[in-house]
Amino acid sequence: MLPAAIINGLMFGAIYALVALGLTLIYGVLHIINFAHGAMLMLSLYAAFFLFQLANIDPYLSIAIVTPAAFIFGYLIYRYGIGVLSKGKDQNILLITLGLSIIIENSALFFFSGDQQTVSLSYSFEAFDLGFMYLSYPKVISFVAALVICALLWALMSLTDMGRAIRAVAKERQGARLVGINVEHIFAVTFGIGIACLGAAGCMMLPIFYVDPYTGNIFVLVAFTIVVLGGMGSIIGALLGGFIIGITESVGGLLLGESLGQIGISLIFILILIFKPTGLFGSKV
Amino acid sequence: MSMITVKNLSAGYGFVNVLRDVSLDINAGEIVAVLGSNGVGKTTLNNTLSGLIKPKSGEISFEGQSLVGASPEAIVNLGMIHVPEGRKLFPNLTVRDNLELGSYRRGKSDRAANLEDVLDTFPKLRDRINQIAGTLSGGEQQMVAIGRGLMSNPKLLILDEPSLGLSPLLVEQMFDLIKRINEKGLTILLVEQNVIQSLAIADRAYVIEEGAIAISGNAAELQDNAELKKSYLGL
Ligand SMILES: Nc1ncnc2c1ncn2[C@@H]1O[C@H](COP(=O)(O)OP(=O)(O)O)[C@@H](O)[C@H]1O
Ligand SMILES: [Mg+2]
Repeated sequence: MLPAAIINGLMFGAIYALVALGLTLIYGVLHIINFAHGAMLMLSLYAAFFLFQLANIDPYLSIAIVTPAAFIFGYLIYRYGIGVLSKGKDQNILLITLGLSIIIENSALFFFSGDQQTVSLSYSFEAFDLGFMYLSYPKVISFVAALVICALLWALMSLTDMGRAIRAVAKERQGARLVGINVEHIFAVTFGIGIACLGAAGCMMLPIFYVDPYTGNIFVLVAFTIVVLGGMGSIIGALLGGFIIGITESVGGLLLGESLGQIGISLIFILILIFKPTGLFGSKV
Repeated sequence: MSMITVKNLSAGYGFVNVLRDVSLDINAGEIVAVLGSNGVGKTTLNNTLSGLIKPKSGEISFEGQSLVGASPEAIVNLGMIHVPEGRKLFPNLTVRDNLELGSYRRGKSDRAANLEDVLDTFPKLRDRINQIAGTLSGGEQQMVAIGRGLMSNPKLLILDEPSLGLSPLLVEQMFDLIKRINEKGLTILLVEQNVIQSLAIADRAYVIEEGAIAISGNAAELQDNAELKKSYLGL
């Protein structure tokens, strides 16, 4: 039973990690918390949902459509919305993202109604037999896809000029301007990458969860815990934190019953705040 | 012919005017020193030249092209590099990453060759190439800052108080180095409080007081300037 709970936790943890990755990246570089994160995750879920309903595109294939679309959406909304309206003041950005989340959620409520929507795939109930447990295809695919996305992000951040520029801007904006880095562009790219992570996460979540105008917030609450656990701004911290939280939730559910599984998460959150408030991996980007 | 010409420049922050009616020019191949004590507006001048802040009025032209309203990226592209006061390195990145980001706008074409040049100029950095820049000593950080500026093959290098915070021996070496870089053909605007050493390597100098040019002339002549001696050297 316990190994099964751990593996299940890993699978969910990978998706949590993606949501947290977007949050932590945006925090690490822009030094702001994107309060519209949950709303944007919800939009991604709806995007995957409608691609399935209207165009019959498998949610896992939709990753290839929704992720780049989410990047473009994130880039544009930062470059020509948040960035311009905030006039460079962090506290303005907070209020703007908060306002944005309210607008997006209420628009979703208006256009998509408050009903919970789900999709069922032909292979939803097919599974690998591990001997001691069955592992459903959707969970395995999500897990692998999340790892691949983390690896791509790592490669982008450490091997390319763009990644170096992002890390440079995170710590030294004026120095970055003086070598000719367009800081506003980098902010928008970072925001776009953060939202692209949500695009991928939304597609992966749809087959194993439901979507309604408030779904995103459930995950973002967990993602906040992961970001604090892993260390604000740390990519590797978000990945490991996602796994730890996923396992905690699932093992907690096993030991305490489904509805109490999240107690473990709150416990971890409190312990981290008491004993290591900078998180496992400090504040590296 | 002058490489950069500044005419009646006024600049500042918000409603506060810092620079008042500053005019100066730098010819290709020169070292021009801008001297002045703390808070007179030297850094403000550099920030205006490199596009970090917009002038309130006046004209700046670089090789005949107006820089008023140009973005910092555009100014970097034109070949003018500002090595800021306090270095402003990327403390979380390695020395190599810091240097390579110096050629961010030029792409990768001549990056390896430029890096070799910079490491020849600062042999000490060769051993430190994979060290995180934030953990370097002050002198090494200043080398990285200048090296990062050289990575884009600039035509004009603006150095803002490069000797600040260095030990006397390192200060000496820093001025020698600036002279050597200049002898390789790079034009330099040297902003300093260290009057004696700056005049020793500069061709010409301007002295700023309260945001305006108070004295200007050939470095050799200024070394004997009574007024300058009195107010800056306590002689
Ligand atoms: N970012 C800023 N905002 C407002 N005032 C500033 C700013 N930077 C500098 N100043 C003011 O402008 C004046 C000139 O500063 P600065 O150009 O840094 O002088 P220097 O480099 O010669 O020491 C000072 O009075 C300083 O307080
Ligand atoms: Mg200064």
